[in-house]
Amino acid sequence: MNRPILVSLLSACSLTAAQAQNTTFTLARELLNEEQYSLAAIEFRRAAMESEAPDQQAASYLFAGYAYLNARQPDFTGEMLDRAEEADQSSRYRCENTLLNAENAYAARDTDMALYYYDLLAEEPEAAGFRQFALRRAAAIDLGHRDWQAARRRLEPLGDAATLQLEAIDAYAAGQDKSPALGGLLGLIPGLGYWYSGETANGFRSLILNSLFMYGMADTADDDEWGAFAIITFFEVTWYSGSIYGGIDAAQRYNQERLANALDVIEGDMGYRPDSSTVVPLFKLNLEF
Amino acid sequence: MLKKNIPTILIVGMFFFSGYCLAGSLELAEDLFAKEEWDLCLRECRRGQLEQETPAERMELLQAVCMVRTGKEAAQTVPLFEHLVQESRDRRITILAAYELGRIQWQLNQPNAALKSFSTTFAGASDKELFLHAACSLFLLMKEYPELKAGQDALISQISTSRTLWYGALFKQCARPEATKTQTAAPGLFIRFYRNQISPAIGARCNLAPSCSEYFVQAKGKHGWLAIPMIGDRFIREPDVNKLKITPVIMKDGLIRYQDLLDDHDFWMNP
Repeated sequence: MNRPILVSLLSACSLTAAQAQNTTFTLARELLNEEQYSLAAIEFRRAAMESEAPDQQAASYLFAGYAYLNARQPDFTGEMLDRAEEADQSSRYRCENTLLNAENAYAARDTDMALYYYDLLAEEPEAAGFRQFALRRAAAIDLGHRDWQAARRRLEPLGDAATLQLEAIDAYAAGQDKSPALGGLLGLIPGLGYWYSGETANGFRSLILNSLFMYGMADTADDDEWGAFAIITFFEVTWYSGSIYGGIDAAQRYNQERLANALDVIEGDMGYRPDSSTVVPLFKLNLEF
Repeated sequence: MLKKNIPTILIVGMFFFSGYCLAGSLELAEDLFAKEEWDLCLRECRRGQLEQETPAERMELLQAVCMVRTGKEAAQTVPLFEHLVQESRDRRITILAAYELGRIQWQLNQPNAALKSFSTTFAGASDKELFLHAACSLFLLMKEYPELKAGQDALISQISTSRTLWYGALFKQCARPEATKTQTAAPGLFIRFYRNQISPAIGARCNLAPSCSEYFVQAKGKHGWLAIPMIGDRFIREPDVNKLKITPVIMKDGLIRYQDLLDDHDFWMNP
């Protein structure tokens, strides 16, 4: 076979392969946009296998990792990120990889590991957006551990960019958590447990219901109506134990809501998504603040 | 952690160490199989078959095992395994397929057929784990059906020689396979009485999702009798949740209810 024919054949083959890869990648992107994350991840993996170029392979694996992260499959996410790192040894996707690893650990509630990755990202001198993202997430983790001083220390270097977040931490620090144990103890007197956590209407309902049923118990016992007494007692046990449980639960919900409000300011407006303009397997995360 | 079973490990191991150049769908299918993503693996196998990827037998074995794991009817899976046992040119695939086939036949109360399949695996297995599994399965099968022992002295003697290598978990893994059942929380007598007799008479009184009876069933399943104070607390809170209207949920019957999940009230018990 002469050389021009051989070259033409090889070109045609590689063109066909590239086209197949592009089709797979496009399908994967569409599935990702449709939020069919597990299916999208499989197609990204296929695109990675079809690709010969290390950077494109790495990008496809990062996409797969992103898709698995959204599908809440931490094992697969970690594996894809490892493969991305192996496929392309250059530091091209280092920030993206670290961020996705951090988010994966955060989603899996492995806060120590997440902090490790966020700290790594925060030390990246050239990635300003990533740094801010990492510091705010790390501050949120610290606050989740009720360590508001550490959270504050993390955000202080950001200066004006974190004014609102610092104010939220100060407001959180100025407030005080409710004690669930005290809430439960106060719940022994129906209504008090709810009142302690600011749930006035629930407190009144608990008080009224318990009073009525206790009166019913006393009245039926007085009249020797033991059948009615048993039925009323059954319900009263439910109301009374509910009052104690409610005292504990209300305090827990109060604390959680207080924390959630602060976290919402710190990280509520943050997000990240792959750049939608890429039509070839190149991975770029757009961070949102 | 994923709960691995022996065929999963063996099949993955066989592929991994086989030295074959794995094609796209097969490699993906193998990965998904290892992670016990049966449905996705099944789809990859079908895709590979449509693309006529080779080696087709491996794909067929993966597909058949995935079908078993997803609870497909034996009528669908038995012919696949039988085909692999009879037609496969790869000895390892034959042996693995015979083991899986034996398990299904045992589940279908076909002891003689199961004995034959397990014996095929027992005689041909080169892998230690598969050999032990086949031996233990044969032992348990014969224990359940003593009539199978007739005329099997040589086999029984061979099984006995391997007994020193058996371990505790082996018995559990080789126990008689049970049909896959859908696990649902079974409501107790009181809840069933309420749902069947009281609720139809008084109508749906609960404006929350899940309903109070369902909430109680969930709480009882998760926390035992702590469900009583939990439901008491919910009755007290219900008007507040209705008033706040924070998370409306449209039910199948078109009614709007407000979400009040168990997880929102027991999150502090399992941090």
